[in-house]
Amino acid sequence: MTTLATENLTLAHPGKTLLRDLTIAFQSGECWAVLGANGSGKTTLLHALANLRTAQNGAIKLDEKNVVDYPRRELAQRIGMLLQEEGNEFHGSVREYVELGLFAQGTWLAANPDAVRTAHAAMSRMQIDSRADHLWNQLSGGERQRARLAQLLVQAPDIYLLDEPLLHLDLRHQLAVLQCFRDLARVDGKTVIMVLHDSLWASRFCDRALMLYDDGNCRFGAAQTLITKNNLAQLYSCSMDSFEFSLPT
Amino acid sequence: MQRPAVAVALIILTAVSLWFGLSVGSVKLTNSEVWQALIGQGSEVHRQIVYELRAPRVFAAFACGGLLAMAGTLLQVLLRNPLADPYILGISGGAAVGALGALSLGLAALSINIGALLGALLAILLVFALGWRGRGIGPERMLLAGVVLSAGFAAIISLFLVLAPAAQLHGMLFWLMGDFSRVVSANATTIVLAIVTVASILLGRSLDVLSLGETKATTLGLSARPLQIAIFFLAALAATAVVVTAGPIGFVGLLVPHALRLLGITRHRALIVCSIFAGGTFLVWADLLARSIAAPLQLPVGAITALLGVPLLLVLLIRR
Repeated sequence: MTTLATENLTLAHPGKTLLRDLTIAFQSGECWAVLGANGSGKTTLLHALANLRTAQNGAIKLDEKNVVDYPRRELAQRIGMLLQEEGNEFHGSVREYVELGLFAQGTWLAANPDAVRTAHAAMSRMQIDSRADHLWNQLSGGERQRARLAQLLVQAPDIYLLDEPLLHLDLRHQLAVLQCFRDLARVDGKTVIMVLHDSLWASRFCDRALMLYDDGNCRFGAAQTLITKNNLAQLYSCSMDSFEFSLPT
Repeated sequence: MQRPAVAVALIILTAVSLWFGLSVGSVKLTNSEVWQALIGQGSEVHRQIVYELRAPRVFAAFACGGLLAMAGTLLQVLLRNPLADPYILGISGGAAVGALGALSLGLAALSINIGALLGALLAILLVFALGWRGRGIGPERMLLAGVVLSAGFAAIISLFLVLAPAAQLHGMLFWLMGDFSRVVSANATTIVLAIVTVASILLGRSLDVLSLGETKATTLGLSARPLQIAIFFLAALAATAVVVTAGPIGFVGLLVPHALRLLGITRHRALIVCSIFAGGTFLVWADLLARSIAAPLQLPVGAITALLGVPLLLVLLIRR
């Protein structure tokens, strides 16, 4: 059982408090949706959870131990992250790109023949295996996103932090990705925390939701009860009346 | 090793080039004469030509070419910029100011080398201090610092050239364009080549990961900061060794990594190894041309590298 927890976490940018006194626990087997308006601190929260930035106040603990106390390599074996924007400068093939996820495990292709199978399985799960031997810089935006996700699957952490995993993806691949990560949580007992802008997908595929408000406050709980028309209208400061959603009211 | 055919071709080409470098010159030696001289037989004159005149120059050219290509590869990862080359950090400018300062004072060859070394070290320290931003090396900051420092050094170099008496001008211009004619031993450069090669190969896997960007590399478990510092000082050591040995030689550090990537060598461990052979061979040929096409007049090797490199890179780009 893995627990990633925050205690009185406060995150701020100069001149703006993004998150105030958040105490929350993300458990194994849970699939979380992080929702909030642009600039509400979703990315900043994920960066803090991955120990990519320091908090203004409070602590982030992975199995009772502060994330800042983990050696980098060990933390990468526990927490993996899809960044919202990742570099597009890579000269090798898609296969080579995906295999770089093995770095976190300390294994390398020559040393471990299983690694080849791991990489292939990840590519096939993200439906990018047919492009494995193409050059990375020949891929479309959506294909690159799937290759990034495949690299993350190869990294095989206990906790997946996904910052807008559906970026550039068509409907078919959005569903495949959502299904894959929901299964990782439900079947394999991983923790999945993803920033989503599509509330419908969030309510259908995630069992927990965390809503970040512009004033630094937040709410969290079961996705089914939290993702409602009224709550979304309040979260995004907009009227939902003119739209037809198949969501509970 | 990726693309073993490319690696094998490069190794064969290197052996042929080094052999050719030892046999070609104002006194043409046959293959058997070179072989006899190498194993310590044959005439005394041939042994002197091979061991004292040609070998230091050919091996220094090879080592410098390998160092420049490796430094280019390292800096393109560190600065995340395809235009990065070993001299983008102002190292050649700093070395040139030091060397020209020594030349203008009429000092001996050793002092010129010491002047170049001190100038290069000053540039390295300045650009490192300016490029450091709290948590690590800021690629854009470091690039800008290098460009600004280079501009400053270029201004000082111009002043040296304008104010120098006519008798010193030729030597200064030759120094500025790169020249192997003053090389008396390749030992120091070869030792630096060995150090930079071993260290870079050990870092190969980490370089692959860092090429994804500092933040992504960190999430994959890489400690980016010590790696960045190691890359910076390895590249600086390589560039300094070259500039002290032969002056600034442009284009090798830019051309070779790109050419190898276009040939399908993309993993850094393979790229580093192939860089040594490709960069070394390229500079051996450039030096051969520099000392033979207008013999007995010697041309600056830096001009030849650019003349050869521009069409070569263009052909590769068009074919790709």
